[in-house]
Amino acid sequence: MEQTLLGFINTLRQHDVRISTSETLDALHTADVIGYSNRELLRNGLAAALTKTRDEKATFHHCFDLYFLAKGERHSQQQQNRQESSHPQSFELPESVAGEAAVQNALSAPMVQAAIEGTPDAVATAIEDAAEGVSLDTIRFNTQKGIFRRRLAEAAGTGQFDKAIEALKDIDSDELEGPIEWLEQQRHELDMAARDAVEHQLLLNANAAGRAIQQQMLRNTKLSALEGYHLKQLPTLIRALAKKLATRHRQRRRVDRRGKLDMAKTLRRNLAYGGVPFHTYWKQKRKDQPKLYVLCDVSGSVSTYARFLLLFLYSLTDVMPRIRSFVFTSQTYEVTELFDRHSPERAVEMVNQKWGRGSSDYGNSFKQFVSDFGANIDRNTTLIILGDGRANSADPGLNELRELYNKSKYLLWFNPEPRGHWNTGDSEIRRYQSACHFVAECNSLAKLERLLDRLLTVLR
Amino acid sequence: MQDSPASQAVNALIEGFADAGYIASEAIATTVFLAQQLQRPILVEGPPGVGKTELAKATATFSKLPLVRLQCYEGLDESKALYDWKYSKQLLYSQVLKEQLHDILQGAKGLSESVERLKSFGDIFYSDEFLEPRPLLKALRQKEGAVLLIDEIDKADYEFESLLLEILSDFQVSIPEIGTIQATTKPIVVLTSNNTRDLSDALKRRCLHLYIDFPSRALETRIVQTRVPEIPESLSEQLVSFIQQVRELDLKKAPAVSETLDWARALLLLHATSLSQELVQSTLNVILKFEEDIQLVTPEIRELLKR
Repeated sequence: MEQTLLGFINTLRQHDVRISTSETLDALHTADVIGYSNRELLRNGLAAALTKTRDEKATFHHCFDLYFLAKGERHSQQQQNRQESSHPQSFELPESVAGEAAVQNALSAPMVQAAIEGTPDAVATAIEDAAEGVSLDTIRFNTQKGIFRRRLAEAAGTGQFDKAIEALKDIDSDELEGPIEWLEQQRHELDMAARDAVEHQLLLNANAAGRAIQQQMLRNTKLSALEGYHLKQLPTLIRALAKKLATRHRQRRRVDRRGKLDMAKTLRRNLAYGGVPFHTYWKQKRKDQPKLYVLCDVSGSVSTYARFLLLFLYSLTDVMPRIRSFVFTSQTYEVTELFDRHSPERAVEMVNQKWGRGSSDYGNSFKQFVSDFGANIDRNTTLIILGDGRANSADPGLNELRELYNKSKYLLWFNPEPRGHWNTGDSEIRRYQSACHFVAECNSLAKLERLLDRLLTVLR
Repeated sequence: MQDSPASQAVNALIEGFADAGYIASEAIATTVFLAQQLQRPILVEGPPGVGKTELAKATATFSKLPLVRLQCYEGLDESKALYDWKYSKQLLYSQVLKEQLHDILQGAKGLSESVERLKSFGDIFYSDEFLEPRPLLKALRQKEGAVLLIDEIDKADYEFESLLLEILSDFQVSIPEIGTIQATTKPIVVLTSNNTRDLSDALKRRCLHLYIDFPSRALETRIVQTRVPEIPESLSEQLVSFIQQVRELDLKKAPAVSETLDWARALLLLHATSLSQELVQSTLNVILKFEEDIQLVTPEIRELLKR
């Protein structure tokens, strides 16, 4: 049973549940204490020992069903198939040939014997043993199915059936036709069982290696080039990246206990000890909480990037200062409250639905932003603007931008266009550059991650 | 199947909890059972007000152990959570004992001899006598064992988690002046978190993890009937059904189990026998704590009551 449990843990790992060695030991203890007889109890117990978040719990229950239920049910299903099949159920040798040494010899192989005697679960056991022999659990890709199936069937003993059938055919007796047909049927069943086992294992392995490659690819592709299926996977990936960034920046720097002694406070607080300074208090500089404002262009051409920038930023709320977010096409709207009320994914969706149309009017939007919110921008504010800087040959709103530049701590411009396209056509990015602290290209997740990493370092 | 000793123990736990006034699902009972057997802390997560803290209290009542509670907040450090020295007592004693010291040191020649003499009396001022145990140390020193509740661990600083690791994995505390203090009887540790931030993997790894969600309709009805037994059965069913539907709406803060109970008690005080639209409207502020939420639910009341 221990092996089964370890196999199960391996399956969970393939499904991206992170399980350490100490948790594996916990799981083994759990199984010891609870036993294997009550499935629900085992399920709850293992869930407590192995999974540490709500998402992981869902994955766990899915895998538990797949792994343990499937194992039991497959057996009974095979048994049922056998009973329902129209082929002869047991092996009957005509008496005339039963005694012949050649026949006896042909049927002597262990798998064949087991089939003839009708040993229960002979097929399942053979497959399981063989699976270990060919290390079936290393199967990773769909394309490996054929070769694994052949190896597995071979190791489970289809060869023995082949030899037996051939030997009987060599004897060349009409009476042996029935037995030969029966043996062929048995061989076929074994082969089918091997196929099922391979499919099942592939499902369990969940293509973890393939997924890793895909994620690597997703990180480096231009976001606008992704669509449909891949787009759906991005939020998960973003969350993972955000978590990594958050852990890296979480460790707060301790305020140094050096500098000037705050005499008044120290004396006052130590009166209880007769003025002996047990506790020392130091003069501190109070640092104002940094503020982060995000202004995103959500017009057709760049709305995808706005989505992922917002999603990324809001996945980082753990370590980010408080964010106020705004979107614009021809006018500016504040969307902070949407993100307060809903999950980031949902809020991003709503923003896109409500405002994600039309073409961008930088001049008007900046003007409006400055008049409505400009008063809130101060030396603690970092402002991020996401946009391609294509002002459609209208007023680029440069004066307003310069005003923001002068008031804010940092004004960062994230441009989703590749650097080579900057300053072509109606792009005003060069003029904007003169009124920004930093203009960066951000058209893939990898670049976005790097930018936010630097941003977090700067903000602290 | 029902006969395995483990499932018997779990069923006994469920009954024990029920006696203590806590209705536990099988998952909860199994986790508590495992925590006792494997001597692991339990990390309980879930939305606020589903009975995370209550679980620890019920465990204490049920196993007749004292409950030691540590409420976490930002800036919590070891002198408030683990131990502290009784400074004023040390100071007082050293003043009073000045004379005594004088007697002891009388006749000693030179500094080194004085130090030698003092040494023979040991580290009096850094001994158990002057140690002020805070919740964590207190829990470790309970002879019969204890239930240690570390409430809202996500509110504490990141560094505090690291401080907990030694206690959670080995049930011991290192005090530089005295040495390592081992737990006499290992306490049952329950940590709760509202998930305002992710806890570190190191902490999670040492714990059994339990997620308590809002209870199902049947379970919540049982909870109401256990905690507010005076309530008529029809009213409690109506009330739970209403709450369950409200939770599915798009609210800023969904009503928790504790609020269901508050509401039940409030309705009882008003001598209500069934929910009417006016009654719900006037008592809605018991279950909803945001003006926006109340405004969102008010027009729906009639519809919600029908179902």
